[in-house]
Amino acid sequence: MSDYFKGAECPGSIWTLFALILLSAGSAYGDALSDLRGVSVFKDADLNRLANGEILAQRGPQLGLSRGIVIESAFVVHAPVPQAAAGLEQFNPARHSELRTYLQVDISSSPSPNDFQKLSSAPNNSSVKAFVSATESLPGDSSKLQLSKQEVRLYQPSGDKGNVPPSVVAFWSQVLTQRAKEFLSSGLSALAPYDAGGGSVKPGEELNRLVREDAKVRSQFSSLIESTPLGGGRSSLSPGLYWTLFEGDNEAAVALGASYGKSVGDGWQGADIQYYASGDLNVGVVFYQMWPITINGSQATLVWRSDLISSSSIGELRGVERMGSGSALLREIQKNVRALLKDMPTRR
Amino acid sequence: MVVSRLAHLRKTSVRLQFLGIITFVIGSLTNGMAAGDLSSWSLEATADGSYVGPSEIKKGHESFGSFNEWDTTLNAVASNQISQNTLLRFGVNWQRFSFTPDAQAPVPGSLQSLNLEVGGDYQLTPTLLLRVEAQPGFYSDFRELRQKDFNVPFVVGATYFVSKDFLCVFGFSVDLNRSPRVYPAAGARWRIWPKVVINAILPDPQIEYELNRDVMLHVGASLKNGSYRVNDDFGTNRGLPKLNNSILDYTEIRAAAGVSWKVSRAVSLDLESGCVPYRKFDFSRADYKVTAFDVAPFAELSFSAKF
Repeated sequence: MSDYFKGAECPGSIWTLFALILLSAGSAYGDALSDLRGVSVFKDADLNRLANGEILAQRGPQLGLSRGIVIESAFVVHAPVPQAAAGLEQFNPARHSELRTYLQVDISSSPSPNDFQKLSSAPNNSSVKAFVSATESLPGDSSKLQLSKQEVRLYQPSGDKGNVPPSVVAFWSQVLTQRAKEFLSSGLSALAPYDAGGGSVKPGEELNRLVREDAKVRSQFSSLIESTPLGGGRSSLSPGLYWTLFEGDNEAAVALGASYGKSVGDGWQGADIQYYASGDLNVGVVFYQMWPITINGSQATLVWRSDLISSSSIGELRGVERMGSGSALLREIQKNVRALLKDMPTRR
Repeated sequence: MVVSRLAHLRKTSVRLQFLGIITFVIGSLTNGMAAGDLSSWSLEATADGSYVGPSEIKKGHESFGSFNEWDTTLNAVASNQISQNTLLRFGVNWQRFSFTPDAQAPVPGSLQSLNLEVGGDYQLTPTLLLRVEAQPGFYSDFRELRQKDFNVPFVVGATYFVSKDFLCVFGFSVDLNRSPRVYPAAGARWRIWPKVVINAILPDPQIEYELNRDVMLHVGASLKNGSYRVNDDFGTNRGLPKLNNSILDYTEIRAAAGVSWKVSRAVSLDLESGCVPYRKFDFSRADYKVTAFDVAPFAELSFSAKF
């Protein structure tokens, strides 16, 4: 109390300071929200509701690519930007059974088949059995596992048994190692095309087209894009490489991904590129924009997330089914964000 | 990580129906587009036919002999997405129930509808889709086409996505000829396990089991109904003059098991068989109805395509 009156003795300085604090808090608050409103589909985003846990999600711009869809989401993490970014980088969906990701494992900076040996510890369920069965039926329809003709020839049936037999682990270890090496050495252009339902998919071209067609993402993340293989060359940022085994269309699927992140101003930007999947989706990239905000005097982070996905399944959808697919997918993304927020350090 | 499990999405929407002629129109509209480009136009077409074995027609204990049934449906709907949230639908539908009753039985030789489907789908919120559709056309026994056979039933329905695996449907249909004129409806579609879906949505509530990505087994029920105006001499010819020019509400309930095969990305075939335990010919305004409670076997073959 006495300090307060001391301040009152020199009202000019204290009011200037108070005004500056208000201005800076208001500025962080206002700028972040207006930035979100400016770049995203959430033109009426309400920070109070976001701060109270609401996760906004909506279809993004319509792409010219028939297999493509964009879902945008926005949410608040009750932690400063560095902690929120770290939480995102450390997030492992395999810890959340509702996300139906069975395994997510880091890949070393020099990929080798050893990085994929955990495939042998996949759960014993019908989805994994279907994945194993599809592998063991090679050289069947290579498009069902989204493989190239050359990759199909790598499979050596051995008749061995097990939930995921050693021959299946060995095969996928080779395929995934090769693709991860290609990605690391020469970026997207080096990624071999593979057969998918309805034709050949060139992962690099597909990712480039997704990014090219979303003008807002391209503009907002231009600096990050230039620092990753999405920019056309090799990455100047070190990627966090990983592979994952998840439930696809009644059949588990393996996928390869690389995540990138960097500080931009007082915020942070990240991109998670999924450049190969054996089923369900062709490729995808998730962009994250984090802005610092202050909520009730505590530092927090406003996040805009944009999921750009290419999937043959989406390409098959027409009319209202396509419209409905966006609604279903955004619910899935909200579920994913909810799981992410559970694992985030918070200061509430 | 990129959120996946997308393939289930193609099965989340309410089943739609169609025919093939407009393919040529759609083909010309999409001509010149690069491979993989999205067209704002789409076409969905279905054709199905079924046979129902003999069943006895009764009014109380009075029998009018037995009859067989053939029915055929051809349907085509073109959709044009005019904005991010709005889809316009234009279609044509023909449905014919053919019966083989005795001459004196108060059952027409056929009940047919030839109508347009005009409406749209609108995304009210990111997770709520609304459909409004009028079905103007002729609904009668088609002995002759008269102005009074014209009717405009319409439906209003909404689909709410609770999650990717669970959606609710609610709405109502209005048919000024039918009794009752307004039918409310509600249902849900729930993927309870990765391969199993409970599809509790009329007119085809069923449990679906996805054997693999191309083959689905299903067991459930099917409701077919409609309101039709019979001809001016229908009653007189059967010794029941009060049925002349009257409205007939036809209802049929089927129990069936079947298999759907996705022949290609665009084309599917469905074969189902089962029984028809209940059929009702209700001339409600004339206060007269006959029913068929015999459990008659049936088989149906359906073809559907989307472009």
